[in-house]
Amino acid sequence: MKRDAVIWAALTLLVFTLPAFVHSPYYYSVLIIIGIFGIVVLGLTMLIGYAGQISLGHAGFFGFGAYFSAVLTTRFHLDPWLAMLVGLVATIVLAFLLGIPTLKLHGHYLAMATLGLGMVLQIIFKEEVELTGGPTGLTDVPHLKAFGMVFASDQKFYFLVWIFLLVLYGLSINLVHSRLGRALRAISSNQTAAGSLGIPVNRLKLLIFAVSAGYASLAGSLYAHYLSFVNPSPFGFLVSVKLVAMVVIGGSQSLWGALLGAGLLTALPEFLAVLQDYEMLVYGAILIVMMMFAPQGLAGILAGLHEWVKNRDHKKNAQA
Amino acid sequence: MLKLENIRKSFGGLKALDGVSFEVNPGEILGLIGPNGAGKTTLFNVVSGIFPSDSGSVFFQRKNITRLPTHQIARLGIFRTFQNPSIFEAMSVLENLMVGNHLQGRAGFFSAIFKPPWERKEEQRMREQAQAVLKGIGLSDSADAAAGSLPFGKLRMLELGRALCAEPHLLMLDEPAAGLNQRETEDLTNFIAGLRAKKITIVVIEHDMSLVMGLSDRVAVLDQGRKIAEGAPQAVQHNPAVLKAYLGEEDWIKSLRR
Amino acid sequence: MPKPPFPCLEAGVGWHNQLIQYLVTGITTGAIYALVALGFTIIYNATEIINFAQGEFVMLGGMIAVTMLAGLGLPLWLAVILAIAATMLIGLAFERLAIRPVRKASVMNLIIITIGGSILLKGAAMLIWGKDDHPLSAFTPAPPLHVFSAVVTTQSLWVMAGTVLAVILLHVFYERTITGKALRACAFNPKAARLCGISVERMILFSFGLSATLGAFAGVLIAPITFTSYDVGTMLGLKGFCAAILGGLGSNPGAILGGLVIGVAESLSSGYVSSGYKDAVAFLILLLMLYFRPAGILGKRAEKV
Repeated sequence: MKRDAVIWAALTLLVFTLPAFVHSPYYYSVLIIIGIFGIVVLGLTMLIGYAGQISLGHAGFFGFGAYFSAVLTTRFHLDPWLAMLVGLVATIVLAFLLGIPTLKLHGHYLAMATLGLGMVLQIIFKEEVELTGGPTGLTDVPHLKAFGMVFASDQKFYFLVWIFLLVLYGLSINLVHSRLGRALRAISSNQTAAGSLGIPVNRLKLLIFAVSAGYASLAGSLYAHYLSFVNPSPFGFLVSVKLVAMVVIGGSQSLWGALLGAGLLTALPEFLAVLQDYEMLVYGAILIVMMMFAPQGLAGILAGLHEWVKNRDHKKNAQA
Repeated sequence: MLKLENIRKSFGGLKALDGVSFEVNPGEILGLIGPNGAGKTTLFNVVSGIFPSDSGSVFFQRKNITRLPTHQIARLGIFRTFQNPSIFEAMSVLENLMVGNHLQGRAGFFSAIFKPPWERKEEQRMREQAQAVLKGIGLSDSADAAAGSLPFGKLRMLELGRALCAEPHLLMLDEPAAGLNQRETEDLTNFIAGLRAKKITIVVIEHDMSLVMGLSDRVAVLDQGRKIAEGAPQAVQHNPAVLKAYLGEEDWIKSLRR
Repeated sequence: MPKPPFPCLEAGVGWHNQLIQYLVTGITTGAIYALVALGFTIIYNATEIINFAQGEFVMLGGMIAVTMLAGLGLPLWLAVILAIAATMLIGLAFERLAIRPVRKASVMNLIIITIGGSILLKGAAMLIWGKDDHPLSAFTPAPPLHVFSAVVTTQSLWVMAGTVLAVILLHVFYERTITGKALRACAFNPKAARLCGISVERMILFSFGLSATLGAFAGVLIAPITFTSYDVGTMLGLKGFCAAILGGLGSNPGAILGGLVIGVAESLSSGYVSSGYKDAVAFLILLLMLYFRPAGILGKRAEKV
């Protein structure tokens, strides 16, 4: 808890000092995308690392939120914040509908069911032309406004996204270090034992699945308002896999590790344009190699290093 | 307190439990023995709801709990340990105990994320409670160690402690002494005997006969899914059906006679 | 991914005439789903892993055959055999390199590894073959047959005959050969199998090889009808999985039945309801199944944790 609080505070400091050094809108746009994926990945980490379940459809929930915001604001002229809320609720309902039959079964059922859901949502985005604009999508999604401010510039939107992220990160830290957080970790470690101690295993898995879908939906809404247009392509299967890769590379049991993963996998392709064609190859390799050699991710590697340094210092002190 | 009526359970063609009935009285320690594959662990799994019986009923304090899911059975105060210690390896020793405390807390999702003062107080209380149990099982020194790093004997104690954190009315121990050395077994026996004072009813599966015979008020014997004997430890030891069940397991007969 | 529609769909007049046509197309694609589902079942029975790379085996079979035939100018029969053999080797290599070293890992880690394998194979295929659709010529150039009012292409017949052959061979293999029996023993009880001197590791390796072979076979059978491209594997894999669950995960007859049901349901709905939502049908069936009978049609019990 203490360590997470320190990291949270450090990140907050970073978020508010960074604009002193960053001036190019391009860097802001990269930071915004990192923040948006960061929000999705915070939720996904809790699902993968704390409930021991995999979703291959989080890009679908992400898109669901984005489309709710876009459709409700452009076609029905709803207030953007209200549209965001409606999207959030709808996504959570969808997650419950999918989670209720699948989460009481083995892990691969949820993985496949979410994979299927992601595909179906893609189809819906493409087919319901009247509503979604089909493959070309919707344009002129309005900007978000609050306190007399319009979040139109990249810098303003940067603050908005990262404040969202910091709040959700803080809430996630609280959740992970609570009675329910311990129960979730117990579930991912040994379901039978967790159940025998009175933990309602399925209900908690469902809860965290819905929460993680909700995070994705909020991120999707922000994404739609940031770009001010949506089309089906950023919500496909490959993005879902990329999200899982972010979690895995950072370390599925660590919230800050996942944020690190989101940062790495968003920034690297931006700066190494060569990577684009090899994107799939790289994600695939990341998933396999991390699972084989560092299942705890970068966070695990860093923790190991820390431990090693500490032990070495101990030995030195003992010798002295 | 606990009453089993004609429990049957089979896996594929194998009858693991073939019409078992017995009762556990409040406050007693019941030893459950029998050769390997007699169905003892299956019986625990049925009572704790890990898998439901094919037929028959389980009553706890007159309430029919046969079809209840595992976590609801725990809510009634029935807790257990496992043959292979099922601790949460990646969590710290203290956290393991605090998971044992789960039912003592009430903080739900919203109080977890917003942390109102009462939630903090509850956390504090759960931590103190777990620390008290930690002291009782003699693991205070390793409170913050990863549970997976403990030696086997301490894992058993940790698992027992975790069940105690839950403040059980009925505690089911599945071979608590398996894999322990002589000294550890003695410590464990004393510890379990100490629980009697706390009015916890205990059912214990055990192969270590000195432990079973020393601790139990009564003993029930299972063989091939059936109960073949039940009664005072002394009487059961000389029951011909019991001796026959253990035939071929010479050491067992010796240990029974001892 | 837009695929050319089945050419035979245009034929026939009136809904009952079309019905036969839809059934024929449904059974053809259903047969392919059945083969994919069998691939899932084989690996699942040996390892309790759902191999998310199963669809990529199908893709590889079709793509390699295309290269052998059009690229190297080999005769069709040789191209098909080489494509299947190459995919089998890839399946074996995948098990050996990525699955066996982490056999003790948690189910979730194994799932992630097979997902990684799937993406890796797909990415490699994209680099090698590009993003275009590739045609494979039909096995026999004969004109389509007319059965009642339906038009049946000879490739459809090849698909059906090929699937029946594969199912028969698989049955004979499981029932009559030592390896097949050993594989069944492993599925039933790995510990006991090991005690009988069966090498469980070998059997797992074998199951990946067999599963890849079946997948590749499905891939070359279907390629002349739908074309093939680097990304056909995900959808075929998902539908094969739906078929395996529908039939009852772990059951071979269930996998075949599930495949046919999904194929026909898909063809009927695209004919009578909407072709845009054709790919959603399998998933809807899966969801309904999970709600009402998670054990599947032929499965005995729900596989709860």
